[in-house]
Formats: sequence, C-alpha cells, structure tokens
Amino acid sequence: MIWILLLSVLLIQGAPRLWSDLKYENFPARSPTAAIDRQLEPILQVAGGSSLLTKALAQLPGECRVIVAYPAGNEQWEFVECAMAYLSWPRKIETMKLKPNESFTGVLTARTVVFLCGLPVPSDTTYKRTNIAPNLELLRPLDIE
Amino acid sequence: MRICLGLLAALASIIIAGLGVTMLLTRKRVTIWKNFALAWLFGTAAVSLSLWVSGFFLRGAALQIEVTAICFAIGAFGFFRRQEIGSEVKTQSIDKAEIFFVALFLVELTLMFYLSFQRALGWDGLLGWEIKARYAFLNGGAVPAAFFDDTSRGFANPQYPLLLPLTETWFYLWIGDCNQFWIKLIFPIWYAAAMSMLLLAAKDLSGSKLIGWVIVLLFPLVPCVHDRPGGFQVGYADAPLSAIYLAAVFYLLRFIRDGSRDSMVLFIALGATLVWMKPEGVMLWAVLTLCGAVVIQRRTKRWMLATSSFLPGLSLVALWKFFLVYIHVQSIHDFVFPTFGVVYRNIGRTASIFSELYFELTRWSDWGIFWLLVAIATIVFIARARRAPAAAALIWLLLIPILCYSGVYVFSALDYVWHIHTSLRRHLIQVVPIAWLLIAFALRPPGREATRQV
Repeated sequence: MIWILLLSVLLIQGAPRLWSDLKYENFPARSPTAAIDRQLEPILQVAGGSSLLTKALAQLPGECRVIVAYPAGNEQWEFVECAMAYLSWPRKIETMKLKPNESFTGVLTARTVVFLCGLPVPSDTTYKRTNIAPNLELLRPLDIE
Repeated sequence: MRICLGLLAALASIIIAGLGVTMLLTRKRVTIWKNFALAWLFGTAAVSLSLWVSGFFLRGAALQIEVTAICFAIGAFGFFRRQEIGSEVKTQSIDKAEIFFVALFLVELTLMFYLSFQRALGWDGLLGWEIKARYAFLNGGAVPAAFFDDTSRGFANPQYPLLLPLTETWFYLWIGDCNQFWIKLIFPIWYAAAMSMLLLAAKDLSGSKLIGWVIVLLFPLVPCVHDRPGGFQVGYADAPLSAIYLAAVFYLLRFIRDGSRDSMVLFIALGATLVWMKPEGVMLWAVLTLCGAVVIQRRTKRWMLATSSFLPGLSLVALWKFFLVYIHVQSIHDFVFPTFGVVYRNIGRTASIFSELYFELTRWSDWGIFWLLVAIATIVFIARARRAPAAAALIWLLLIPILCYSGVYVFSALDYVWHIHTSLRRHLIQVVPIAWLLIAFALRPPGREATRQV
C-alpha cells in the first residue's frame, strides 16, 4: 500500500513535468547545424550563427593567428570560442580570457586577428573592424583581407 | 528521402552486426526484447571498433564498404552458428494486459523520440562527442590524428573513447553529411534498449510482469532522465552508458541465479563494452567484473576462469591507452594522480563532498522523490534478502559506483565544488536503471520467488 502511494506521488509529480517539457521548446529546423545554431542564437542575438562564424573564419588567410578574446568566467562566450574551434577545423584557435582590468592589445601583431566577444572595441585605426553580431567584432590588421 | 534511406541502412548494418555478435556469444535463442537490446548494444560497439581499427588503413567509400562487409560477415557467421546449434526457445503467449502495456510503452518511446528531436544537442553532446563524429566524417571516417594533439581543441576530450562518436560517424557516412538534427535519432534507441533490459530485469527480480511494466512506464517520470545534461535527449554518453551497464548487471544477476554459460559470456562482453563508451565506464567495468569474478570463482572454483573474465575489458583499455600514448594525445588534468599524500591533503573535502551528494540526491527539481524511493527500497531490500548473493551483488553494483564517483572528487585538480556541480548529476544518471531494479525488488510481493525464466 505504501508503495502504491509513493509511486503515485512520483507519477503525480513527474507526469506534469514531462508534459511541460514536451511543450517547452519549438521543434528545431532540420538543418545540419541545428544544435549549434540554437545554442549560438541567444548569445550572438542573431539567427544562423554558425554560418556567420564559418563565413568570417573562411575569409581569413590560413597562416594568420586567430585569437578569441572574451571576459574570463563567461561560460556563454566560452561556448562561442569552442563553437569557432568546432567550425574552423583544422585551423587552431587561441583563447584569451580577459579579466576586467586586462587588455588584449599587447598580443596584436601584423598576422593576428582577434574575435572580440562581449568586450569593448578599442579605437585603434590600424585595425579593420567587422561586425559579425551585435556583440561580436572581428579585428584584423589593415593588410589582412 | 536520401537521409531516411541512409539512416535505415546505418541502423540495419548495426542491428545485423549486433545480432551476429549476440548469436556468436550465446548458445540458446534469446527473446525478442533481449535480441533487440543486445543487437543495438553489441552492434554499436562492433561498428565503432571496426571503424576505428579499419580507419588506420582505409578512408571514405572503401572504409564504409569494408565496415559494412564486416557487419554482414558477423551477422552471417552468427546466423550459421545458430543454425548448427539449432536450439529452440518456447514462444510465450501474449495476453491482453501485455498488449496494453506494450501500447503504453510505444507511447513512452514516441515521447522520447519527440523529446530527443525537440531538444538540441547539449554542450558536451556537441563539443565533446559529435565534434569527433564530424571530424571523422570530414576525414573519410577516421578521427584525424592531428585532432588528438590539438591543444586548442582540448575541450573536446580527445582522450575519451570512441563508441559514441564513431557510431555517429557511421550514420553520417550513410546519410552523406553531418547532421546535428538527424543524429538525435540514435539516443532514443539506446533508451529503448535500456527499457527492454529494465523490463526483463525488473520481471526477474520482482517475479511479476506487472511490476516490470510499472517500472518501465514510470522510468521517464524522473526529470533528470529527460530534462537535464546527461539525459537521453541531449546527446551525452551517460545515458547510453547506463543502458550498457544495466544490460551487463542484468546478465551478471542472471549468472548468479542460474550459473549459465550464456549469462556469464554476455555480462563479460557487455562489461568490456563499458570501457569503450566513456572513461567512467572503466570504473563501472571494474566494479562489475570484480563482482563477477567473485561469483565465477565461487560457482566454478576455477581461479583461471575468474581471472580471465577481466581480459576482454582490460585488453580494450590497454589498446586504447596504447593508442593515446602512441599518438601523443594531450592529457587533460581534471584529476591529480591518487597518492596517500593527496588523500591526506584533501581529506577535509570529504564532508562537503558528501553534503553535496546529499543535496544532489534530494534536489526535487531534478530527481523528484526518486532517491527517496531508492532509499526505502534499499532498506526493504537489505531486510528481505540479507543472505542472497544476488541482493549483495545488486547493492554493490549500485552503491560502489556512487561512492567511487563521490570519492573521486578528493583527487579533483579543479575547484572541486564546481567539479561536483558540473558532473555528479551525470554520474548518478549512469546508475539510475540499477536503482530502479532495487525498487522492483522491493515491490515484489512477499513470499514470491524471482522468476526462473522470462
């Protein structure tokens, strides 16, 4: 009898939860990048994030260094950095996790591009800025096209 | 249409290989539930191992043709061997109640497929597992050697074994593209295999078909199973690992009860499969095989046989470790090397580790009253079956993994509280089906013996 009661509690507690989970999200598009796009969308605040990143990465010369700079401890931007590595195989992606008082400018060289994730953009005219998403900028030296 | 045909072809080849392995390992015919579950569990292991080994020599269409040929060859060998043995199994009549429960189970399974397709692959599902499948597909079916020593992709855990990624690669090869939507198909199949095994094991332990079905139908009502990282819907390896562990435990319990050669071979083979799924599988394999070796020694009085039960799993672990050393994989230091000095230094963590474990088990939003049920069932279980070897084994197979998973944070090289928060829940998911078996036993009507044959 006690087991019937306990299992009924499990049923009463679990069934509405399962039902609400079934209604929780819309069905994703049946695209090859369905999962990564769904995860990127709330971070980049644009749809089709994977194609934007792929396009940006594809335009960079193969020999240049790619650095992804983002605020230290920010898991969302860490996901974006991993997503870039995921999409850009076999290119190597370097990471720079910046604390509030740190700057990325020291690492910039002639053959380096930086993806600035959720960080203020410096007013340095020696770099060309490309806006990829509302909070994601690509900085590259003027000689890298 | 092409994608559907590709998915069907990949699925068929896995099932054929899995059926072949099952028929090669067993001498008696097995029921349809077991056949399906074992076919999937062994099939995925056979295909991923074949892809890994063949991938050293072949790429692209040649690799795909060779692995397909291996699948059909295993299937054919198994079929001919079964013809030679020619054993029969009695068909069981299905009553109306059974049809009703099967219909409910099909609804449950449909919900799992729906949930799986509705949710996107989670962080680890995408960046820990699917990433390897994608790179392997882009490299003609083999994970590129450069991936293993690429420090910029250390987040993808290159040192993890390849059962899940290469199973995904197999589907990609057949559908001709990487597809993060359609690959979600495979996770509910692991769920179905786990439920088939849970049904049989719960029937065995409770001596009642009704209890078996109740357990299977209540299983998805634990929120963690379908709504948290590590559940069946997000593409992690934990839930598939739990399916393999459940199957291995089921056959170990069968072996304890009837001492049959088939049960022994199957629990050893399934145990070895654990280590090919995830590093934690090594711990589950060690716990299972240690228990199995004791049982083998006590039943057969043959030390050699008991010792050799470690060989399949050990060989696979050694092979994989050798490969990682050979290819210079960058090891990730989530844990420090366990020494007495580390234990002495970190022993102070024990209290907070177990308090975190307590908080996790009692987190109602994640688990509902599930672990409360398990606690009550454990007390009933111990009171009822103090002297039964199967009871002792089941308690061992549930509690030792939980204790090991908790104790390992003493050696965590990271912020251990953060480490617990990010991984303990997933570890517990791996033993959820075993915990359900305790509940099945506790539900057994007093005085009724466990069933002899299902």
